[in-house]
Amino acid sequence: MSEQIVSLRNSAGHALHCMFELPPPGAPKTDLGCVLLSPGVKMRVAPHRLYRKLAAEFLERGIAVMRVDFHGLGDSEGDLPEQQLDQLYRQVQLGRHVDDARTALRWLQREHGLKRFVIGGLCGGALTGLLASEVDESVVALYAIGIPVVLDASGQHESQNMTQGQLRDMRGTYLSKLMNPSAWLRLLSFKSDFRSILRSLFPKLGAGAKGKTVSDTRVPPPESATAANLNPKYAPAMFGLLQRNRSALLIFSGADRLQFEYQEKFVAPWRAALEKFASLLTVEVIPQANHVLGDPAWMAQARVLTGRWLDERFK
Amino acid sequence: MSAARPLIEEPVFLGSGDERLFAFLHPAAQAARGTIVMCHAFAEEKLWSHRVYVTFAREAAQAGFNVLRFDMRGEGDSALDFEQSTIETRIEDTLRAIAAAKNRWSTHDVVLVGHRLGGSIAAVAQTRAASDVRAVAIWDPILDGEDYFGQLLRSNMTTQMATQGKVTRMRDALIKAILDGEVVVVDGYGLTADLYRGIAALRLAQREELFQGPALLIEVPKGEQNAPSEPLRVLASTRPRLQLALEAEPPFWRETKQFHKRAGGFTADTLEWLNGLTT
Repeated sequence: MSEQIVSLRNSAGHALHCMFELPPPGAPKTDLGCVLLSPGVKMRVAPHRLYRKLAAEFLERGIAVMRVDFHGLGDSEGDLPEQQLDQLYRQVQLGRHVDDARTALRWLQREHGLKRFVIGGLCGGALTGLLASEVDESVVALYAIGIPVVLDASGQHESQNMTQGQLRDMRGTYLSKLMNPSAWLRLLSFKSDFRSILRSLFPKLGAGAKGKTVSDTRVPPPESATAANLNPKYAPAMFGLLQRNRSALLIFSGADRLQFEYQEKFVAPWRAALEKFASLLTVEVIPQANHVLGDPAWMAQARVLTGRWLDERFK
Repeated sequence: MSAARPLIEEPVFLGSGDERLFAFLHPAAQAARGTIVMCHAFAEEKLWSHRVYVTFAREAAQAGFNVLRFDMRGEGDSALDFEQSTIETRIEDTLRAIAAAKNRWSTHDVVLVGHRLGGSIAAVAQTRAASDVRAVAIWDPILDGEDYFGQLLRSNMTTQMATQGKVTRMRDALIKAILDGEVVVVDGYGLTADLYRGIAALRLAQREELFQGPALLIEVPKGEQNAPSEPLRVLASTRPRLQLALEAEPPFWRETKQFHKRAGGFTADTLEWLNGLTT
């Protein structure tokens, strides 16, 4: 084990405590590095130490890995003002931690001479990696597991922004409860979420407002209306990445709403435009998996997909 | 290190190889009145709680205590895979953390502060390092390890429901499978037979040797509860230096809609009790 504790300071002066690992002796030499960024509030190890497990795929290919704690999270300095998680996630989705990511990139360039980077991680870590790619030319690829395309804390009822995939799943769940007395008791005692039930049975009822037009020269005109809660930073950053000829691996979990949101809120409106970048964009779905890949079989699949992509793109 | 100003808090590794522990040192901001070693909760509960531990360590350091936080092996940035770790490795790790704190701050006056299963680990570690550990405080103590293990398994059953549409193995079947050598996964963490046996044996109320010195147990009330629960009162009746407290702290050790970065009730009670110990 060759991990090294690295403490950096971001532009605001907060100490960021990170873990850096060099490849084992005998691994191929490369100027490529990997930066894995905090997912949500789960710090640099990620749920069930996911990042430590995934790092192995990079290290055995000679790619050094840095795992980063964002300011205000993990062991790092700083204080985040939000009391609610959705408000905190919203700030992550708007790019709060891009400077933290760049701080890590600069250190790796300066101290280890690395020139090119794969950046990302799980959920908010993936999105921060995407947003960092807009402002840092050294990012050559996005590595994204369960990347969110919507903005949290939109102020609307959850059911209004549900995808057709989510509604289909929910409809199936409600229908399976038809013979369940306790479910009926819950319904008749007004404890059920009636808005969600109605929305799942009548998907066109109460749908959220349509989104505003994305006014960014990098983003092609959408073929259909965009969702009201689509993160306005997502499409510009993703098209920007692809237009700069950067590649991306997007891994989604089959049982995760983020997969439906990606398909329905990003791919559907820009299907034709995205086809032009098919050679750069690798999208994989791990069937049945949950958001954090909390089963060894799902984890193993994620490792295989990661290794295959690294070999195809960087060997 | 690219720091423009020196770090007040210091991340370190203790030991190397399979023995390696990741630790974080928070030196007292003023003349030290004591030393705290923190014992974290188990598995994903640790991750959800992490920022609360960081904040407590910083506040305790401001209040004049040296604080050492560390990751037990199998968790965080310490050595070993989770499935290789046991309750015994966690107790050994706590003893090593106590020794490191003693060496670092030249003290024989350590107080252990543990959370949930980490509190049980702290209580047992105290009995093995009695000359170095003056007292122990536990946030939301887990009195019955067997019952706690059953709660962990509920998450596995939820996953069964989500992936198979039904629960095919209930608690007893899962425990039997574990004892037969299967690693049963909960939220990505593999539960082994060694872990099951170790956790199930942590029955705090039935271990005579525990809490013979100064101790504080802070319970989280359930429902309308407004006094410490019966098992804790029974425990305290035979331990004159055991103090009980009740704090309606939100469950920051699991996913809620809140971003928990401070446990105000636990912190206030613990610092007040520490002040009483040191005066």
